[in-house]
Amino acid sequence: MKNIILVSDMMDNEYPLPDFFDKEKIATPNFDEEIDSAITNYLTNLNNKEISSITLPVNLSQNFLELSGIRVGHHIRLTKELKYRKVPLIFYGSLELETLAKISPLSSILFTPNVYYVNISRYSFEDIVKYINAISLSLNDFDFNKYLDFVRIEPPANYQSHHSVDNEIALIEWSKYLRCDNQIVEVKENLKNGLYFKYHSVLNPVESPETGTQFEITEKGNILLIDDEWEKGWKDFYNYFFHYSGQIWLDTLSIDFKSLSQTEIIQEAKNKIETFKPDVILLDLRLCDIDFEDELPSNKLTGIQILDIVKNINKGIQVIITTASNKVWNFEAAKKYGANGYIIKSGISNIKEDIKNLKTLIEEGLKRSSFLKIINQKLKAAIQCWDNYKIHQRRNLTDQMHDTLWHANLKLQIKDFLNNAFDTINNDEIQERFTISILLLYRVIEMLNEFFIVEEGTYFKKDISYKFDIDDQPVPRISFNTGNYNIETLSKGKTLSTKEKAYAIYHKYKNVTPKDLFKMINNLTEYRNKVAIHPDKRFKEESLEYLFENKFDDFKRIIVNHFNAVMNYVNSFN
Amino acid sequence: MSEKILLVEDRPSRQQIYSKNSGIDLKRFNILKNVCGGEEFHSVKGEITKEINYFDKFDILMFHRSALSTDERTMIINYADSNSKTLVFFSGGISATNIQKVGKSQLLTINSKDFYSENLKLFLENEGKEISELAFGTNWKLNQLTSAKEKLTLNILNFVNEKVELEMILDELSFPQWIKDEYFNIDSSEIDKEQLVSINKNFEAKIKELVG
Repeated sequence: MKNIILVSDMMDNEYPLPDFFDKEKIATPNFDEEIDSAITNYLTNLNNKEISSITLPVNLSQNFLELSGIRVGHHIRLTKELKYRKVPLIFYGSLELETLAKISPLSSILFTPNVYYVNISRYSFEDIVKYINAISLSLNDFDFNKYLDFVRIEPPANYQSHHSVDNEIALIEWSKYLRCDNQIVEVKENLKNGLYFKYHSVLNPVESPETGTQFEITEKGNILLIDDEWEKGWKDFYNYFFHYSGQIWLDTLSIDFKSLSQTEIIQEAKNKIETFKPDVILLDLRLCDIDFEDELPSNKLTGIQILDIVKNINKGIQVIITTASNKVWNFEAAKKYGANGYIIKSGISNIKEDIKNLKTLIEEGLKRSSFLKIINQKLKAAIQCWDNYKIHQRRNLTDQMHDTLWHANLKLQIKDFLNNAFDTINNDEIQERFTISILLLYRVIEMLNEFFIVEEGTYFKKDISYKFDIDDQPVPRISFNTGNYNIETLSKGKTLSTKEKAYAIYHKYKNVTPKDLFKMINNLTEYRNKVAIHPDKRFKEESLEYLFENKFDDFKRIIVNHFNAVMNYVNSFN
Repeated sequence: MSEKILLVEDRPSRQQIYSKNSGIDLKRFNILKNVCGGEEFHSVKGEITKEINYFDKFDILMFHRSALSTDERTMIINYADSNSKTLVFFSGGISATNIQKVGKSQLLTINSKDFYSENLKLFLENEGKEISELAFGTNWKLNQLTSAKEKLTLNILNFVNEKVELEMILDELSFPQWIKDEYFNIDSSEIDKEQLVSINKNFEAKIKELVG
């Protein structure tokens, strides 16, 4: 059994010490080596020795305030791999204990179990030998919680908040789970050797000896990673994450985040989104130094501003926030700006669940974006077209209040209903969101019909008649028969359905009867009449909600066609 | 006044934020050449491999460590060693402040946030005369005094002679000049153990006063 003494740089090689001790010296770190790495490597090499006690100076270097000896002491206690981590530690130094306590919070180790302090202004090294012989060296075990109760180790100053720490821990733990941690050497070293991370790991033990099995995401699409730590390991992690998913194309916003301003980062992100055309974006909230300012409002975070831009480009792009921030106001802001998922990079939570949630969110995101992106793109074009349309003054005011209001608001209301129809299918908190959106789309057709066609007489008196507002010409009936659309004059008292009115208006303005469009309007009308207005689930298996869960390809084709029906109809007013 | 301290940073936004938080206006220090991002950063960094004598005009070289490659860092360390330049590497990845000897000069490694703090202001205001000001800020005297006390105590523990040459012991202990002036201002050219113990007690009293 060895009683080791560490000597400081202030003691030359010849400095006389009792033979009782095995003299050791920690080599000065290489110029490029972290002090914590140098200490860890040294202590690990001692692991093959049978050690009874370690006597060490409060500081090892020429600069006392570095307190590197005390740092070594904490490493001994916090390095789980060391066999001798609980041996008695005898610190020696020339200051009063109280003075040391005032100089640095790290000195708190001096007040913990199985740690002794000898003031060499009063006692000699021979006295230390006597002291060690007197204390019970069987004290190799003690209540470790008492050490933890006394000490508090702060993260390195650059970790602008605990989020930076959690980010790295999440990276290593998630990578370990997927067995790809050998690809993130730098972070692994930092977490393995850094004093703070050892402390954090002891305080928050992660039970993750198990590793996950590789999985395959069967959806396809483009995924964009926007994370300022992409080079530190997140890119490698996601490359591995999607390794077996053959239809995923992963790209990264590969810029030097640290050297760019917030405005430049946002512009680079916008350019990348426009060229790569992602289906899903994995977006970190804090991407530059300014994001770590304490008083920065959530909506000024770089990630939130990028989210806003993404949703302006195309609301169908699914954005999953991957952040170490667990602040509720950041979560609320992300939700407000349209984030589709929120994963907290923590590393101390249930890693298996974190990875599972990440996979589920990505799969769902890809599935959703596969129809939402297409719809949103067409929706924006349709709205722009409608905006440009110069609506005529309504000539026939059959119902003064009703008609005036319609005229004043029609432009706005068509836009609102179209946008609401999209927002509804995009909101998975609404239980029957697809069917409700169909009702909103159907209402758009009805509103246009009501504006362009004047209805006179009543259904009950059987004297109903229809004329176009623009020129008072009668509205014909356009019906599908033997593969063609036939146009016939409508006799008084005969009624027109919503779809027939839409056909007639289209024909009036475009002078054609497009089969595809009319078929889509017909299908939309049928869905509305059959499924949407029968909430008793009589037609459950034809509902979009059912198809979404069970026959996704059918669902996608049908919902896109329903939206196309209305958007193409709106586009005809150009 | 010529620019004798060079600061090379590749992250303008970080410098801006940390300087703002610490209330440092780097522009007001004529002694400092602040190369922060942009073309000038690449140009100055390029001098390490192209024309390292570019750095001759500076006494102190401060670099963001991660902005340099391992090879560039080795080259600049070798240059500082041969040319007695004080070198500072700051980086977010540095967990503890550390001063090492590089030849006759010194290398300070320090965390970025600690670098852009009041310490830098103090260091620049005193024209970069004392690297421990940058490392420990207002505690720089405390660092020197506690280090001196540690050395002196070890020396006393091992003191075997009746008296020793004052100059010899001061040379051996390498105390800073201000400590020599304030604590070793004795008439005799020799000093005994009792006197050293007394000086050590004076150190202790001053340390307690500084710590508060």
